[in-house]
Amino acid sequence: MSIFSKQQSPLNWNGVFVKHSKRLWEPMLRFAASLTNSAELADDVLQTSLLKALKAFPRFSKKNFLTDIPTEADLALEKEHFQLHFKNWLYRIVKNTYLDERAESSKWIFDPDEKSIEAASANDFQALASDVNLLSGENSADFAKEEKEFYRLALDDGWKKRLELLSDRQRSILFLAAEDYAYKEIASILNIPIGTVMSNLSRALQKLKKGEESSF
Amino acid sequence: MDFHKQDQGSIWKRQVRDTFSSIRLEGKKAQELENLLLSTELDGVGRRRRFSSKNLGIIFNKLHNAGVGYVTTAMVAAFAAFMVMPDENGDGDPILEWASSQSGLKGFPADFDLEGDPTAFPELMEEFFTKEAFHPAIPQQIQAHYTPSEGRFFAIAGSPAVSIQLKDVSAVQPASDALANTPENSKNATLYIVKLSDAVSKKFPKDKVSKRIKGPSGKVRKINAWREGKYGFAVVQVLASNEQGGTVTE
Repeated sequence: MSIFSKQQSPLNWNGVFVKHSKRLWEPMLRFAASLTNSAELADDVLQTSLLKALKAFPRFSKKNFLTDIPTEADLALEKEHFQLHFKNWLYRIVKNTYLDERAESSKWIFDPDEKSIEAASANDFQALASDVNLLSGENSADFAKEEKEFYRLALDDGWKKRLELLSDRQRSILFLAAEDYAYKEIASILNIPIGTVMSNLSRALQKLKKGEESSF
Repeated sequence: MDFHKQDQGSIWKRQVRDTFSSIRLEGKKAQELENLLLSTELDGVGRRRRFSSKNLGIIFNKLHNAGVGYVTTAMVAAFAAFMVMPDENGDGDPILEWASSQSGLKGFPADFDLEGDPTAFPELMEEFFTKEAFHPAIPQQIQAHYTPSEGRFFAIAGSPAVSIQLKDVSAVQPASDALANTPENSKNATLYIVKLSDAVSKKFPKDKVSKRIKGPSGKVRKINAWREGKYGFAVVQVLASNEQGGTVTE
């Protein structure tokens, strides 16, 4: 039975937020761990992220559910597609919190080889849209081959150690892909072009593959 | 065979999931978090909301047209609304560019509204961007004389930027003269903030600038521009006819 039963006082923003976010705290912690590669740092990122999200929650509700009434937001969040949107929003806050607390965050944002959408103009956005359309094309076929290769290599128990050798970005992309997020959703959460998601995931798999090859 | 292929693709995902599932949130920690979240006081709840839902609808339509689904983030949505400012003057004075593009930007719907909640700007930026990407503050001296209202995102040479309409605080007071608050006579202004990337930094004046510029319509605009940290600021104000003295740049 929910602790938020009708006998209790009406839900306020804090109550609605806790009710709907609580089941996501552990996934958020894992996502934070994929970014930080540290359980301790992940704890800190989770707490900061939840506080930031709580403060922004009324605005999120107004923007997405078109309501500034907590009980109406509560009802909206019962719907599956809003839950997914809510989860993605929380993941995005985790990622931003991680970047804010990471001293060298600019290395990620302003990687000269992988132009970030943060510096994107309208033209860049068109390029991003084109990337989306590439999903069903040749690139995804190439990626399927990588997946098959990885299947063979993943049988090696040493892959977990090699996972730690991945960059924060590669590890977080791998984590989200394992959660069955589509490439465009990963791009949206991490705020990077979809082509970058695909290339990083491919490189992550290659790194794991190389690790196994060198172990022979 | 097909099933075998599909299964091959999913196994690595399961292995990664299994690895991360060993990371657990302890019951005690979860309880502490719940207590913290339930006891945290929310500032500004119930005040006027800042986002323009009309504009968000337009933004989301743009995204749908671009083939991006409903799960696309608000952050991407904000960037989709970025408009490249008209570069009428090529490599010329960026202050002139801002002044000349002012009317063009007004043609776009607002991306957010700070009216009734002027202190929300940092929080708003924090939600849209990482601190490294774009996290400006409205200068205190401006807040002392103006009330920030609606704002729009755009980009200059790939750098994120925002324009915010400023309402003259004195104009909010009841005026004995009916003409006092007309657009022509009010001291309302527009604040532009741009992140000083390498490309923008070369064009932005290094020292504080104050100049008057006469536009094609004959209106004279007063422009103050300065740098502060990672950001360039410019306040553009249309001058009333009785204030148009002094040196004017055509």
